[in-house]
Amino acid sequence: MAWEDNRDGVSRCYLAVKPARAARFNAAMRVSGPHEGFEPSVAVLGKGRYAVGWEEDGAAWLRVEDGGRLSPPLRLGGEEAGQVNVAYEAGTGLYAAWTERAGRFRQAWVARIAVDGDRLAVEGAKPVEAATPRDEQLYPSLAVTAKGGVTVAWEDRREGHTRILYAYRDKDGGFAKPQALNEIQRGQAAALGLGRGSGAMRVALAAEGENGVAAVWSDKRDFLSGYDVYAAFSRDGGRGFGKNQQVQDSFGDNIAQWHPAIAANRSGRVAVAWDDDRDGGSDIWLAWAEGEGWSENLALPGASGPGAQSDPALALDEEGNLHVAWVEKAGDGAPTRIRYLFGRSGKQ
Amino acid sequence: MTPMLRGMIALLALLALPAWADPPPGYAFLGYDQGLARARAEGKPVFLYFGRYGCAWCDKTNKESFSNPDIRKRYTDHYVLVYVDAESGRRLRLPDGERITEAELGARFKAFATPLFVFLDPDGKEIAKIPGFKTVEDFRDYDRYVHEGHYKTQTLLQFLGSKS
Repeated sequence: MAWEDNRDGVSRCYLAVKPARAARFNAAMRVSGPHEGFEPSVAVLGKGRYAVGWEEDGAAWLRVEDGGRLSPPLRLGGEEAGQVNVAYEAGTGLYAAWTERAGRFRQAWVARIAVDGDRLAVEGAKPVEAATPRDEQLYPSLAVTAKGGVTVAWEDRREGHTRILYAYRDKDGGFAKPQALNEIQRGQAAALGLGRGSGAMRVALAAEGENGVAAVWSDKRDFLSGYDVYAAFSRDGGRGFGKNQQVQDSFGDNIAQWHPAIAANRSGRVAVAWDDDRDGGSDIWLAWAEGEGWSENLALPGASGPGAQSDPALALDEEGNLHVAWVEKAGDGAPTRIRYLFGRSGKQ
Repeated sequence: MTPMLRGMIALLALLALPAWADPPPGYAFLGYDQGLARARAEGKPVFLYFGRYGCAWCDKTNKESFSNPDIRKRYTDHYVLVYVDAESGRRLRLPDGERITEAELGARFKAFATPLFVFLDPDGKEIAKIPGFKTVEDFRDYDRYVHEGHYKTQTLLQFLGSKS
């Protein structure tokens, strides 16, 4: 688990590791350097190793943790870089995405990261589009499949509002032409020349099965009820995605959902979690992909009830066990705590 | 067409692009942390505008309500004006030192719809939260509610109800 906290008065990035059979996480390890660190992303490399990317001092960084030792940090991008996301698949490799300044706007980049012991190197870094961006490209997310597919999705403002775009990485390291992931409902406002369209943000991808990719994001196509959780699936490694699916059930329709997160495993299990306050306070809710739709929403036991529970992160291991972490705040002015829950697979 | 002329036309087209749901022109909106610091220093309440890039109702509010000279004068004179893009990754610092993004601030204020207007007292405490498009008359009422201190004794609904 990687996170950001300011326990010593400065925002920094931390990593804690829990071996699969262990009851507890090891002590938190600081991964960011002397300056403020933000928005860490972690990928499991196997054999007890982890890659962590983060933003620090206007730059994007990555390092590998191996048995309690940290590699020297590797700088990923150019000027004003950040919003790092990392993904790994054995046989395909470790990839990092980030954004950096290109003219007036941020541009999304992707690179393969070579790992040789504690020596790291950036290989074939390329922007998702060669042209200088016409507006912001923000918060890229990666999926790397077992069959070698590499897909990146990001927030893109070129159309005058925020859309989710994605692109598949070719064998030569270039990217296919970006495609829209979120579907748009054109309403009366657009016809009247007001605004440019609905919003969407914080897309997250996860590799699923051998060659699938699942995507989830916050979507404001229904502007009256705030952000909803939408998802889409690719069955061809991320080259194309199917229709958008609303994840929250009808009991959550009339309120906003926040902070969606996704997890998937090689067996094809996909889970999405988010926070919403349909029960009067902010709780963590969970849904499973089932056939062509989604399960009823489950208020996660231990992550719902008094206080506020928000910002879930989740992982599914290869046995189908669910690992969920979230931020808990007992009340106004109370400190935040990170909680963790293990959900054993019903198949065992 | 010469390359220079093409370049000039492209530049003019760029300058003519409408600011989609940015803060309305003619108002001195500040960032969140800068605005809260100024409010504390000057003892002025904050008018916090949560917008969204491309937001239709923000665009309508800007064009139909914030273009009114009386509203511009009232809000400029009475409040420290703060604008937040509720989807932005721009980072700000809360009064307790925590660093979060503008989007996260939107989540904490439950900015489920944009525009969302929030009045804060000079210490950052919430006075009233008002979602959606509002008319010039609505904004005059909200200004009277906050600037004349009615919020100290009445809810906004009570104040608006007592008007009729």
